[in-house]
Amino acid sequence: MKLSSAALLCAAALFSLAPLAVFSQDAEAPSEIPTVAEETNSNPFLRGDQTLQLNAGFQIPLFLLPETGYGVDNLKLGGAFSFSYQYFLSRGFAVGGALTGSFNNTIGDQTVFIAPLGVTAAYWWSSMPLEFCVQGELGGYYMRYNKKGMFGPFAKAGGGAFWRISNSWSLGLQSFLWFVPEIHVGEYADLTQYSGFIETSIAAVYHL
Amino acid sequence: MRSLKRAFGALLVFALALQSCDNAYGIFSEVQKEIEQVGQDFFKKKSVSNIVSVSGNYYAATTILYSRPAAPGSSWSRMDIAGSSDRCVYGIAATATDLYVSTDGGVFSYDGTWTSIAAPAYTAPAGMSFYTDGIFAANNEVYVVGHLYDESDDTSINYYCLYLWNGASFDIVPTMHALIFGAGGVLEADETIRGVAYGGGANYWFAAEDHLYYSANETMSGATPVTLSDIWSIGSTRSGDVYIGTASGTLYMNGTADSKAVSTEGNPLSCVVEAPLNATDWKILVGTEILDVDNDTEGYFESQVALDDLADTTFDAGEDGLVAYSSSIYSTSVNDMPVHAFLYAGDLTEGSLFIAISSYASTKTHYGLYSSTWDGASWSGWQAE
Repeated sequence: MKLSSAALLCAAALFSLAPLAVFSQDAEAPSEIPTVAEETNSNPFLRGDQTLQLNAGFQIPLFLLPETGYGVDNLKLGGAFSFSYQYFLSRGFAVGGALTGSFNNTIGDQTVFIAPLGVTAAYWWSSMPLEFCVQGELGGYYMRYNKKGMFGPFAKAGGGAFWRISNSWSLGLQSFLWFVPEIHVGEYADLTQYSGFIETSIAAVYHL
Repeated sequence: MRSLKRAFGALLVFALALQSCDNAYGIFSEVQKEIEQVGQDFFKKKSVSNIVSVSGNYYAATTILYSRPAAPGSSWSRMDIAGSSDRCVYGIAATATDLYVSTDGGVFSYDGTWTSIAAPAYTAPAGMSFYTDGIFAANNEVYVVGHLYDESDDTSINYYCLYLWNGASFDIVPTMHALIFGAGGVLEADETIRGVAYGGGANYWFAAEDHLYYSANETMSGATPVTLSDIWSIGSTRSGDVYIGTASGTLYMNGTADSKAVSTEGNPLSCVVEAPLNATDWKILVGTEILDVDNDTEGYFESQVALDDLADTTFDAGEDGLVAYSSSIYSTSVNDMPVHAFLYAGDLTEGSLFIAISSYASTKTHYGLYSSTWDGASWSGWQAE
Protein backbone atom coordinates (compact mmCIF):
# COMPACT_ATOMS: atom_id res chain seq x y z
CA MET A 1 0.00 0.00 0.00
CA LYS A 2 2.88 2.35 0.79
CA LEU A 3 4.43 1.70 -2.63
CA SER A 4 1.24 2.64 -4.44
CA SER A 5 1.02 5.76 -2.34
CA ALA A 6 4.57 6.72 -3.20
CA ALA A 7 3.81 6.11 -6.85
CA LEU A 8 0.87 8.46 -6.62
CA LEU A 9 3.13 11.12 -5.12
CA CYS A 10 5.66 10.74 -7.94
CA ALA A 11 2.92 10.85 -10.58
CA ALA A 12 1.48 14.02 -9.14
CA ALA A 13 4.91 15.63 -8.96
CA LEU A 14 5.71 14.68 -12.57
CA PHE A 15 2.37 15.98 -13.75
CA SER A 16 2.90 19.26 -11.98
CA LEU A 17 6.33 19.66 -13.56
CA ALA A 18 5.17 18.83 -17.06
CA PRO A 19 4.92 22.47 -18.08
CA LEU A 20 8.62 22.87 -17.28
CA ALA A 21 9.44 20.52 -20.12
CA VAL A 22 7.39 22.64 -22.46
CA PHE A 23 9.21 25.68 -21.15
CA SER A 24 12.63 24.16 -21.73
CA GLN A 25 11.75 23.45 -25.36
CA ASP A 26 10.37 26.92 -25.72
CA ALA A 27 13.43 28.47 -24.10
CA GLU A 28 15.73 26.87 -26.66
CA ALA A 29 13.90 28.57 -29.52
CA PRO A 30 15.53 31.79 -30.74
CA SER A 31 13.86 34.82 -29.25
CA GLU A 32 11.90 36.90 -31.65
CA ILE A 33 9.27 39.61 -31.58
CA PRO A 34 5.91 37.97 -32.20
CA THR A 35 3.80 39.14 -35.07
CA VAL A 36 0.21 40.20 -34.55
CA ALA A 37 -0.93 37.06 -36.29
CA GLU A 38 1.15 34.94 -33.93
CA GLU A 39 -0.18 36.77 -30.90
CA THR A 40 -3.80 36.22 -31.85
CA ASN A 41 -3.66 32.85 -33.49
CA SER A 42 -0.86 30.96 -31.83
CA ASN A 43 0.08 32.18 -28.39
CA PRO A 44 -0.73 35.67 -27.17
CA PHE A 45 0.92 35.15 -23.76
CA LEU A 46 4.26 36.88 -23.94
CA ARG A 47 7.21 37.34 -21.63
CA GLY A 48 6.38 39.93 -19.00
CA ASP A 49 2.62 39.39 -19.07
CA GLN A 50 0.96 38.95 -15.70
CA THR A 51 -2.37 37.55 -14.54
CA LEU A 52 -4.42 37.53 -11.39
CA GLN A 53 -6.85 34.68 -10.99
CA LEU A 54 -9.78 33.94 -8.71
CA ASN A 55 -11.30 30.46 -8.50
CA ALA A 56 -14.28 29.04 -6.67
CA GLY A 57 -15.80 25.61 -7.02
CA PHE A 58 -16.32 22.11 -5.72
CA GLN A 59 -13.90 19.85 -3.90
CA ILE A 60 -14.60 16.19 -4.58
CA PRO A 61 -12.91 13.64 -2.28
CA LEU A 62 -11.17 11.00 -4.40
CA PHE A 63 -9.23 8.69 -2.10
CA LEU A 64 -7.89 8.21 1.43
CA LEU A 65 -5.09 5.66 1.56
CA PRO A 66 -4.37 3.35 3.22
CA GLU A 67 -7.96 2.51 4.03
CA THR A 68 -7.95 2.07 7.80
CA GLY A 69 -11.64 2.67 8.43
CA TYR A 70 -14.60 3.69 6.37
CA GLY A 71 -12.38 5.32 3.77
CA VAL A 72 -13.06 8.32 1.60
CA ASP A 73 -16.82 7.78 1.91
CA ASN A 74 -16.57 9.59 5.25
CA LEU A 75 -15.71 12.81 3.42
CA LYS A 76 -18.52 14.73 1.75
CA LEU A 77 -18.48 16.96 -1.31
CA GLY A 78 -16.90 20.26 -0.32
CA GLY A 79 -15.84 23.61 -1.66
CA ALA A 80 -12.61 25.26 -2.75
CA PHE A 81 -11.48 28.77 -3.52
CA SER A 82 -8.14 30.26 -4.48
CA PHE A 83 -6.28 33.38 -5.42
CA SER A 84 -3.22 33.22 -7.63
CA TYR A 85 -0.72 35.34 -9.50
CA GLN A 86 1.29 34.36 -12.55
CA TYR A 87 4.17 35.99 -14.43
CA PHE A 88 5.10 34.86 -17.91
CA LEU A 89 8.79 34.06 -18.22
CA SER A 90 8.51 33.29 -21.89
CA ARG A 91 5.83 32.85 -24.48
CA GLY A 92 3.09 30.72 -22.91
CA PHE A 93 5.06 29.74 -19.84
CA ALA A 94 4.27 31.35 -16.53
CA VAL A 95 5.27 30.89 -12.93
CA GLY A 96 3.58 32.26 -9.88
CA GLY A 97 2.03 31.56 -6.53
CA ALA A 98 -1.35 30.50 -5.24
CA LEU A 99 -3.15 30.64 -1.93
CA THR A 100 -5.99 28.15 -1.74
CA GLY A 101 -8.58 27.05 0.78
CA SER A 102 -10.84 24.04 0.73
CA PHE A 103 -13.27 22.43 3.11
CA ASN A 104 -15.05 19.10 3.24
CA ASN A 105 -17.57 18.13 5.87
CA THR A 106 -17.36 14.64 7.28
CA ILE A 107 -19.99 12.05 7.99
CA GLY A 108 -19.69 12.91 11.69
CA ASP A 109 -20.40 16.58 11.01
CA GLN A 110 -16.83 17.72 11.43
CA THR A 111 -14.99 19.80 8.84
CA VAL A 112 -11.62 19.18 7.22
CA PHE A 113 -10.12 22.49 6.15
CA ILE A 114 -7.02 22.54 3.97
CA ALA A 115 -5.14 25.72 3.10
CA PRO A 116 -2.31 25.11 0.60
CA LEU A 117 0.25 27.72 -0.34
CA GLY A 118 2.34 26.90 -3.36
CA VAL A 119 4.37 27.94 -6.37
CA THR A 120 2.84 27.30 -9.75
CA ALA A 121 4.12 26.58 -13.21
CA ALA A 122 1.73 26.81 -16.14
CA TYR A 123 1.69 26.67 -19.88
CA TRP A 124 -0.95 28.75 -21.68
CA TRP A 125 -1.98 28.78 -25.29
CA SER A 126 -4.82 30.20 -27.25
CA SER A 127 -7.24 29.48 -30.02
CA MET A 128 -9.12 32.71 -29.94
CA PRO A 129 -11.44 33.35 -28.32
CA LEU A 130 -10.57 30.27 -26.24
CA GLU A 131 -7.54 30.05 -23.99
CA PHE A 132 -6.17 26.93 -22.39
CA CYS A 133 -3.68 26.13 -19.69
CA VAL A 134 -2.09 23.16 -18.01
CA GLN A 135 -0.75 23.87 -14.61
CA GLY A 136 1.09 22.29 -11.74
CA GLU A 137 1.61 23.47 -8.19
CA LEU A 138 3.95 22.41 -5.42
CA GLY A 139 3.95 23.72 -1.91
CA GLY A 140 2.76 23.06 1.57
CA TYR A 141 -0.56 23.01 3.32
CA TYR A 142 -1.97 23.71 6.73
CA MET A 143 -4.91 21.46 7.63
CA ARG A 144 -7.46 21.77 10.47
CA TYR A 145 -9.86 19.19 11.82
CA ASN A 146 -11.44 18.85 15.24
CA LYS A 147 -9.25 21.62 16.70
CA LYS A 148 -6.13 19.79 15.58
CA GLY A 149 -3.72 21.03 12.94
CA MET A 150 -1.18 19.57 10.56
CA PHE A 151 1.41 20.83 8.10
CA GLY A 152 2.48 18.85 5.07
CA PRO A 153 3.61 18.90 1.46
CA PHE A 154 1.11 19.53 -1.28
CA ALA A 155 0.87 19.05 -5.03
CA LYS A 156 -1.80 19.60 -7.58
CA ALA A 157 -1.99 19.34 -11.33
CA GLY A 158 -4.60 20.01 -13.94
CA GLY A 159 -5.76 22.60 -16.38
CA GLY A 160 -8.55 24.73 -17.67
CA ALA A 161 -10.29 26.30 -20.61
CA PHE A 162 -11.24 29.99 -20.72
CA TRP A 163 -13.28 32.32 -22.85
CA ARG A 164 -11.62 35.67 -23.47
CA ILE A 165 -14.51 38.02 -22.85
CA SER A 166 -12.51 41.28 -23.07
CA ASN A 167 -8.96 42.56 -23.30
CA SER A 168 -8.60 42.21 -19.56
CA TRP A 169 -10.83 39.34 -18.54
CA SER A 170 -11.22 35.65 -19.23
CA LEU A 171 -13.74 33.31 -17.67
CA GLY A 172 -13.49 29.55 -17.64
CA LEU A 173 -13.57 26.19 -15.99
CA GLN A 174 -10.69 24.41 -14.34
CA SER A 175 -10.10 20.99 -12.90
CA PHE A 176 -7.21 19.89 -10.71
CA LEU A 177 -6.10 16.75 -8.99
CA TRP A 178 -4.94 17.48 -5.45
CA PHE A 179 -2.48 15.25 -3.70
CA VAL A 180 -2.39 15.85 0.06
CA PRO A 181 -0.13 13.50 1.98
CA GLU A 182 -0.42 13.62 5.77
CA ILE A 183 3.00 12.62 6.99
CA HIS A 184 3.64 11.37 10.52
CA VAL A 185 7.05 10.35 11.74
CA GLY A 186 8.60 8.17 14.41
CA GLU A 187 6.32 5.99 16.49
CA TYR A 188 3.27 7.57 14.84
CA ALA A 189 4.37 6.80 11.28
CA ASP A 190 1.46 4.40 10.92
CA LEU A 191 -0.88 7.40 11.01
CA THR A 192 0.52 8.56 7.66
CA GLN A 193 -2.23 8.85 5.05
CA TYR A 194 -2.41 9.97 1.45
CA SER A 195 -5.45 11.79 0.18
CA GLY A 196 -6.62 12.93 -3.20
CA PHE A 197 -9.25 15.42 -4.24
CA ILE A 198 -10.62 16.70 -7.52
CA GLU A 199 -11.13 20.45 -7.58
CA THR A 200 -13.57 21.65 -10.22
CA SER A 201 -13.98 25.38 -10.27
CA ILE A 202 -15.06 28.45 -12.13
CA ALA A 203 -12.16 30.80 -12.76
CA ALA A 204 -11.88 34.47 -13.54
CA VAL A 205 -8.54 35.63 -14.99
CA TYR A 206 -7.53 39.28 -15.03
CA HIS A 207 -4.77 40.11 -17.49
CA LEU A 208 -2.65 42.90 -16.01
CA MET B 1 11.40 48.52 11.93
CA ARG B 2 7.94 48.03 10.42
CA SER B 3 9.08 45.11 8.29
CA LEU B 4 10.76 43.65 11.36
CA LYS B 5 7.44 43.81 13.21
CA ARG B 6 5.66 42.18 10.27
CA ALA B 7 8.24 39.44 10.14
CA PHE B 8 7.88 38.90 13.86
CA GLY B 9 4.09 38.79 13.51
CA ALA B 10 4.30 36.27 10.71
CA LEU B 11 6.72 34.21 12.75
CA LEU B 12 4.34 34.32 15.72
CA VAL B 13 1.40 33.14 13.58
CA PHE B 14 3.55 30.36 12.17
CA ALA B 15 4.68 29.34 15.65
CA LEU B 16 1.08 29.24 16.90
CA ALA B 17 0.01 27.16 13.90
CA LEU B 18 2.96 24.84 14.43
CA GLN B 19 2.06 24.45 18.08
CA SER B 20 -1.41 23.28 17.11
CA CYS B 21 0.09 20.42 15.09
CA ASP B 22 0.02 17.04 16.75
CA ASN B 23 2.16 14.26 15.32
CA ALA B 24 0.26 11.78 17.49
CA TYR B 25 -3.09 12.71 15.95
CA GLY B 26 -3.85 11.39 12.48
CA ILE B 27 -6.44 13.64 10.89
CA PHE B 28 -7.36 11.44 7.96
CA SER B 29 -7.20 8.26 10.02
CA GLU B 30 -9.62 9.89 12.49
CA VAL B 31 -11.88 10.91 9.62
CA GLN B 32 -11.96 7.29 8.51
CA LYS B 33 -13.08 6.20 11.99
CA GLU B 34 -16.08 8.50 12.09
CA ILE B 35 -19.49 6.94 12.46
CA GLU B 36 -22.56 8.77 11.29
CA GLN B 37 -24.78 9.56 14.24
CA VAL B 38 -28.36 8.56 13.56
CA GLY B 39 -30.82 9.13 16.35
CA GLN B 40 -34.36 10.20 16.98
CA ASP B 41 -35.22 13.44 15.22
CA PHE B 42 -36.82 14.81 18.38
CA PHE B 43 -33.43 14.61 20.16
CA LYS B 44 -31.53 16.27 17.30
CA LYS B 45 -30.02 19.61 18.39
CA LYS B 46 -32.06 19.49 21.59
CA SER B 47 -31.27 19.79 25.27
CA VAL B 48 -32.18 16.73 27.33
CA SER B 49 -32.33 17.78 30.96
CA ASN B 50 -32.56 14.40 32.64
CA ILE B 51 -33.00 10.67 32.08
CA VAL B 52 -34.27 8.17 34.66
CA SER B 53 -35.11 4.47 34.78
CA VAL B 54 -38.34 3.17 36.32
CA SER B 55 -39.79 -0.35 36.20
CA GLY B 56 -38.14 -1.46 32.98
CA ASN B 57 -38.57 1.81 31.10
CA TYR B 58 -36.36 4.81 30.42
CA TYR B 59 -37.79 8.32 30.59
CA ALA B 60 -36.03 11.36 29.15
CA ALA B 61 -37.10 15.00 29.26
CA THR B 62 -36.55 17.99 27.08
CA THR B 63 -39.50 20.29 27.55
CA ILE B 64 -41.39 17.18 26.42
CA LEU B 65 -41.41 13.75 28.01
CA TYR B 66 -40.17 10.73 26.04
CA SER B 67 -39.95 7.06 26.99
CA ARG B 68 -38.76 3.74 25.71
CA PRO B 69 -38.60 0.18 27.06
CA ALA B 70 -35.21 -0.77 28.50
CA ALA B 71 -34.91 -3.70 26.10
CA PRO B 72 -32.01 -3.09 23.68
CA GLY B 73 -33.05 -1.73 20.33
CA SER B 74 -36.33 -0.30 21.58
CA SER B 75 -37.50 2.98 20.14
CA TRP B 76 -38.27 6.22 21.92
CA SER B 77 -41.71 7.75 21.72
CA ARG B 78 -43.32 10.90 22.98
CA MET B 79 -45.54 10.60 26.06
CA ASP B 80 -48.59 12.66 26.75
CA ILE B 81 -48.81 13.66 30.39
CA ALA B 82 -52.12 12.76 31.97
CA GLY B 83 -53.73 12.87 28.56
CA SER B 84 -52.30 16.25 27.58
CA SER B 85 -49.69 16.88 24.91
CA ASP B 86 -49.37 20.55 25.82
CA ARG B 87 -47.59 20.37 29.14
CA CYS B 88 -44.11 21.90 29.40
CA VAL B 89 -41.83 19.67 31.46
CA TYR B 90 -39.71 21.43 34.12
CA GLY B 91 -38.10 18.30 35.49
CA ILE B 92 -38.40 14.57 36.10
CA ALA B 93 -37.41 12.33 39.02
CA ALA B 94 -37.85 8.68 39.86
CA THR B 95 -38.42 6.53 42.91
CA ALA B 96 -38.19 2.74 42.79
CA THR B 97 -41.70 2.44 41.39
CA ASP B 98 -42.90 5.82 40.15
CA LEU B 99 -41.97 8.54 37.74
CA TYR B 100 -42.59 12.11 38.90
CA VAL B 101 -42.91 14.97 36.44
CA SER B 102 -43.00 18.67 37.28
CA THR B 103 -44.81 20.66 34.58
CA ASP B 104 -46.37 24.02 33.95
CA GLY B 105 -49.66 22.30 34.73
CA GLY B 106 -48.58 20.92 38.10
CA VAL B 107 -46.86 17.79 39.34
CA PHE B 108 -47.80 14.31 38.11
CA SER B 109 -46.78 10.79 39.03
CA TYR B 110 -46.80 7.78 36.71
CA ASP B 111 -46.71 4.08 37.50
CA GLY B 112 -48.47 2.97 34.37
CA THR B 113 -51.31 5.33 35.20
CA TRP B 114 -51.04 9.08 35.53
CA THR B 115 -51.96 10.70 38.83
CA SER B 116 -52.25 14.43 39.25
CA ILE B 117 -50.65 15.71 42.43
CA ALA B 118 -51.75 18.97 43.91
CA ALA B 119 -49.05 21.57 43.55
CA PRO B 120 -47.51 22.79 46.79
CA ALA B 121 -50.00 24.93 48.63
CA TYR B 122 -48.67 28.35 49.25
CA THR B 123 -50.50 31.63 49.57
CA ALA B 124 -48.24 34.09 47.91
CA PRO B 125 -47.94 37.51 49.50
CA ALA B 126 -49.55 40.38 47.65
CA GLY B 127 -47.66 41.29 44.53
CA MET B 128 -45.86 37.98 44.38
CA SER B 129 -46.57 34.89 42.31
CA PHE B 130 -45.82 31.30 43.19
CA TYR B 131 -44.34 28.78 40.75
CA THR B 132 -43.06 25.23 40.96
CA ASP B 133 -39.75 24.40 39.30
CA GLY B 134 -37.47 21.40 39.40
CA ILE B 135 -38.11 18.07 41.05
CA PHE B 136 -35.68 15.75 42.85
CA ALA B 137 -35.80 12.25 44.32
CA ALA B 138 -33.58 10.99 47.14
CA ASN B 139 -33.97 7.61 48.81
CA ASN B 140 -37.49 7.34 47.33
CA GLU B 141 -38.46 10.70 48.83
CA VAL B 142 -39.65 13.30 46.31
CA TYR B 143 -38.94 17.01 46.62
CA VAL B 144 -40.13 19.83 44.44
CA VAL B 145 -38.71 23.33 44.29
CA GLY B 146 -41.09 26.26 44.45
CA HIS B 147 -40.30 29.91 44.18
CA LEU B 148 -41.94 33.24 44.84
CA TYR B 149 -41.43 35.87 42.22
CA ASP B 150 -41.99 39.53 42.94
CA GLU B 151 -43.74 40.70 39.79
CA SER B 152 -43.66 44.36 40.81
CA ASP B 153 -40.03 44.48 41.73
CA ASP B 154 -37.81 45.70 38.94
CA THR B 155 -34.96 43.71 40.39
CA SER B 156 -37.04 40.56 39.90
CA ILE B 157 -35.91 38.71 42.99
CA ASN B 158 -36.83 35.05 43.34
CA TYR B 159 -37.37 33.40 46.71
CA TYR B 160 -36.88 29.67 46.47
CA CYS B 161 -38.22 27.04 48.82
CA LEU B 162 -38.31 23.26 49.03
CA TYR B 163 -41.35 20.99 49.38
CA LEU B 164 -41.50 17.31 50.33
CA TRP B 165 -44.08 14.87 48.96
CA ASN B 166 -45.68 13.08 51.90
CA GLY B 167 -47.68 10.66 49.81
CA ALA B 168 -50.76 12.85 49.79
CA SER B 169 -49.55 16.39 49.26
CA PHE B 170 -46.44 18.51 49.04
CA ASP B 171 -45.48 19.94 52.40
CA ILE B 172 -43.00 22.68 52.86
CA VAL B 173 -39.73 21.46 54.31
CA PRO B 174 -39.90 23.36 57.58
CA THR B 175 -36.20 23.64 58.24
CA MET B 176 -35.54 24.99 54.77
CA HIS B 177 -38.45 27.34 55.00
CA ALA B 178 -37.19 28.73 58.29
CA LEU B 179 -33.75 29.16 56.86
CA ILE B 180 -35.06 31.00 53.87
CA PHE B 181 -37.87 33.09 55.26
CA GLY B 182 -37.65 32.82 59.03
CA ALA B 183 -35.97 35.20 61.39
CA GLY B 184 -32.26 34.81 61.03
CA GLY B 185 -32.69 32.80 57.86
CA VAL B 186 -29.37 32.26 56.15
CA LEU B 187 -30.36 31.65 52.55
CA GLU B 188 -30.40 34.77 50.45
CA ALA B 189 -33.05 35.80 48.00
CA ASP B 190 -32.28 34.68 44.46
CA GLU B 191 -30.18 31.80 45.78
CA THR B 192 -31.05 28.83 43.62
CA ILE B 193 -31.75 25.47 45.20
CA ARG B 194 -29.42 22.96 43.56
CA GLY B 195 -30.94 19.70 44.76
CA VAL B 196 -31.31 16.97 47.32
CA ALA B 197 -29.34 13.73 47.53
CA TYR B 198 -29.24 10.75 49.86
CA GLY B 199 -26.10 8.99 51.09
CA GLY B 200 -22.84 9.89 52.69
CA GLY B 201 -23.71 8.20 55.98
CA ALA B 202 -27.45 7.63 55.53
CA ASN B 203 -28.22 11.35 55.38
CA TYR B 204 -30.36 13.60 53.25
CA TRP B 205 -28.24 16.38 51.78
CA PHE B 206 -29.67 19.69 50.68
CA ALA B 207 -27.70 22.12 48.54
CA ALA B 208 -28.36 25.70 47.51
CA GLU B 209 -25.85 27.95 45.77
CA ASP B 210 -23.97 28.89 48.91
CA HIS B 211 -25.37 26.53 51.51
CA LEU B 212 -25.07 22.84 52.22
CA TYR B 213 -26.94 20.93 54.94
CA TYR B 214 -27.39 17.31 55.89
CA SER B 215 -29.84 15.56 58.15
CA ALA B 216 -30.85 12.00 58.95
CA ASN B 217 -34.47 13.06 58.48
CA GLU B 218 -36.10 13.67 55.10
CA THR B 219 -37.73 16.81 56.51
CA MET B 220 -34.23 18.12 57.17
CA SER B 221 -35.04 18.60 60.82
CA GLY B 222 -31.95 19.25 62.90
CA ALA B 223 -29.96 19.87 59.73
CA THR B 224 -26.23 20.33 60.15
CA PRO B 225 -24.67 23.10 58.05
CA VAL B 226 -21.51 22.51 56.04
CA THR B 227 -19.47 25.52 55.00
CA LEU B 228 -19.27 25.47 51.23
CA SER B 229 -20.15 28.04 48.61
CA ASP B 230 -20.36 28.32 44.84
CA ILE B 231 -22.29 25.03 44.64
CA TRP B 232 -23.53 24.00 41.21
CA SER B 233 -24.85 20.46 41.67
CA ILE B 234 -25.40 17.62 44.12
CA GLY B 235 -26.01 13.94 43.48
CA SER B 236 -25.45 10.47 44.83
CA THR B 237 -24.06 7.33 43.26
CA ARG B 238 -24.76 3.60 43.37
CA SER B 239 -22.30 3.06 46.21
CA GLY B 240 -24.04 5.62 48.43
CA ASP B 241 -21.61 8.52 48.23
CA VAL B 242 -22.84 12.08 47.85
CA TYR B 243 -20.94 14.34 45.44
CA ILE B 244 -21.14 18.10 45.41
CA GLY B 245 -19.86 19.95 42.33
CA THR B 246 -18.94 23.62 42.37
CA ALA B 247 -19.29 26.28 39.72
CA SER B 248 -15.52 26.47 39.45
CA GLY B 249 -14.97 22.78 38.77
CA THR B 250 -14.13 21.25 42.15
CA LEU B 251 -15.78 18.03 43.29
CA TYR B 252 -16.45 17.23 46.96
CA MET B 253 -17.44 13.85 48.40
CA ASN B 254 -19.62 13.38 51.48
CA GLY B 255 -18.91 16.86 52.77
CA THR B 256 -15.80 18.92 52.31
CA ALA B 257 -13.05 16.70 53.73
CA ASP B 258 -12.31 15.01 50.42
CA SER B 259 -12.15 17.07 47.24
CA LYS B 260 -10.58 17.25 43.82
CA ALA B 261 -10.28 20.04 41.25
CA VAL B 262 -11.68 18.08 38.30
CA SER B 263 -12.26 20.68 35.61
CA THR B 264 -8.95 22.09 34.43
CA GLU B 265 -10.78 24.94 32.73
CA GLY B 266 -12.87 25.82 35.77
CA ASN B 267 -16.19 24.72 34.30
CA PRO B 268 -19.16 23.99 36.58
CA LEU B 269 -19.63 20.33 37.51
CA SER B 270 -23.16 19.18 36.79
CA CYS B 271 -23.58 15.48 37.55
CA VAL B 272 -21.84 12.28 38.63
CA VAL B 273 -22.44 8.60 37.89
CA GLU B 274 -20.73 5.31 38.66
CA ALA B 275 -20.06 2.99 35.73
CA PRO B 276 -17.97 -0.15 35.28
CA LEU B 277 -14.21 0.31 35.03
CA ASN B 278 -13.63 -3.40 34.40
CA ALA B 279 -15.20 -6.72 35.37
CA THR B 280 -14.65 -6.08 39.08
CA ASP B 281 -14.40 -2.33 39.74
CA TRP B 282 -16.42 0.82 39.31
CA LYS B 283 -15.29 4.29 38.35
CA ILE B 284 -17.05 7.64 38.29
CA LEU B 285 -17.84 10.00 35.46
CA VAL B 286 -18.24 13.70 36.14
CA GLY B 287 -20.20 15.93 33.77
CA THR B 288 -19.30 19.57 33.17
CA GLU B 289 -21.64 22.37 32.29
CA ILE B 290 -19.28 23.92 29.78
CA LEU B 291 -20.09 27.47 28.85
CA ASP B 292 -18.24 27.93 25.58
CA VAL B 293 -19.90 25.32 23.39
CA ASP B 294 -17.80 24.12 20.43
CA ASN B 295 -14.70 25.93 21.70
CA ASP B 296 -14.11 24.18 24.98
CA THR B 297 -12.16 20.97 25.36
CA GLU B 298 -14.19 19.38 28.14
CA GLY B 299 -17.52 17.62 28.32
CA TYR B 300 -17.14 15.01 30.99
CA PHE B 301 -14.32 13.38 32.96
CA GLU B 302 -13.65 9.76 33.83
CA SER B 303 -11.62 8.40 36.71
CA GLN B 304 -9.36 5.77 35.20
CA VAL B 305 -8.89 3.80 38.40
CA ALA B 306 -11.28 2.32 40.91
CA LEU B 307 -12.30 5.20 43.11
CA ASP B 308 -10.76 5.20 46.57
CA ASP B 309 -10.58 8.83 47.61
CA LEU B 310 -11.11 11.85 45.44
CA ALA B 311 -7.95 13.73 46.26
CA ASP B 312 -5.70 10.99 44.84
CA THR B 313 -7.83 10.19 41.81
CA THR B 314 -6.82 11.25 38.33
CA PHE B 315 -9.58 12.29 35.96
CA ASP B 316 -9.23 12.30 32.19
CA ALA B 317 -11.40 14.27 29.82
CA GLY B 318 -13.88 12.14 27.88
CA GLU B 319 -11.78 12.05 24.73
CA ASP B 320 -9.16 10.05 26.60
CA GLY B 321 -11.61 7.92 28.53
CA LEU B 322 -12.62 4.30 28.28
CA VAL B 323 -16.29 5.02 27.69
CA ALA B 324 -15.53 7.18 24.67
CA TYR B 325 -13.76 4.13 23.20
CA SER B 326 -12.51 6.12 20.24
CA SER B 327 -11.56 9.76 20.29
CA SER B 328 -13.20 10.34 16.94
CA ILE B 329 -16.49 8.75 17.90
CA TYR B 330 -16.35 10.93 21.00
CA SER B 331 -15.52 13.98 18.94
CA THR B 332 -18.43 13.42 16.62
CA SER B 333 -20.92 12.79 19.39
CA VAL B 334 -20.83 14.26 22.90
CA ASN B 335 -17.72 16.44 22.80
CA ASP B 336 -17.86 20.13 23.69
CA MET B 337 -21.40 20.27 24.96
CA PRO B 338 -22.90 20.85 28.41
CA VAL B 339 -23.72 17.63 30.26
CA HIS B 340 -26.92 17.66 32.30
CA ALA B 341 -27.32 14.10 33.54
CA PHE B 342 -25.98 10.55 33.48
CA LEU B 343 -27.78 7.27 33.99
CA TYR B 344 -26.16 3.85 34.24
CA ALA B 345 -28.66 1.02 34.09
CA GLY B 346 -26.97 -2.32 34.65
CA ASP B 347 -24.21 -4.01 36.62
CA LEU B 348 -20.58 -4.99 36.11
CA THR B 349 -21.46 -7.66 33.57
CA GLU B 350 -23.62 -5.56 31.23
CA GLY B 351 -25.50 -2.31 31.10
CA SER B 352 -26.19 0.93 29.31
CA LEU B 353 -24.74 4.32 30.17
CA PHE B 354 -26.76 7.33 29.05
CA ILE B 355 -25.57 10.91 28.82
CA ALA B 356 -28.04 13.81 28.53
CA ILE B 357 -26.54 16.92 26.96
CA SER B 358 -27.38 20.27 25.43
CA SER B 359 -26.70 20.03 21.74
CA TYR B 360 -28.79 22.94 20.54
CA ALA B 361 -26.00 25.49 21.00
CA SER B 362 -23.55 23.52 18.89
CA THR B 363 -22.92 24.37 15.28
CA LYS B 364 -22.74 20.63 14.65
CA THR B 365 -25.72 18.37 14.17
CA HIS B 366 -25.55 16.47 17.43
CA TYR B 367 -28.25 14.91 19.56
CA GLY B 368 -29.36 15.56 23.13
CA LEU B 369 -29.09 11.95 24.26
CA TYR B 370 -26.39 9.33 23.68
CA SER B 371 -25.69 5.90 25.12
CA SER B 372 -22.76 3.55 25.34
CA THR B 373 -23.16 -0.17 26.07
CA TRP B 374 -20.98 -2.15 28.50
CA ASP B 375 -20.61 -5.87 27.70
CA GLY B 376 -18.54 -6.81 30.75
CA ALA B 377 -15.22 -6.03 29.08
CA SER B 378 -15.50 -2.93 26.89
CA TRP B 379 -17.71 -0.04 25.87
CA SER B 380 -19.41 0.25 22.51
CA GLY B 381 -18.71 3.99 22.14
CA TRP B 382 -21.26 6.79 22.18
CA GLN B 383 -24.20 6.37 19.85
CA ALA B 384 -27.10 8.75 19.42
CA GLU B 385 -30.40 7.65 20.91
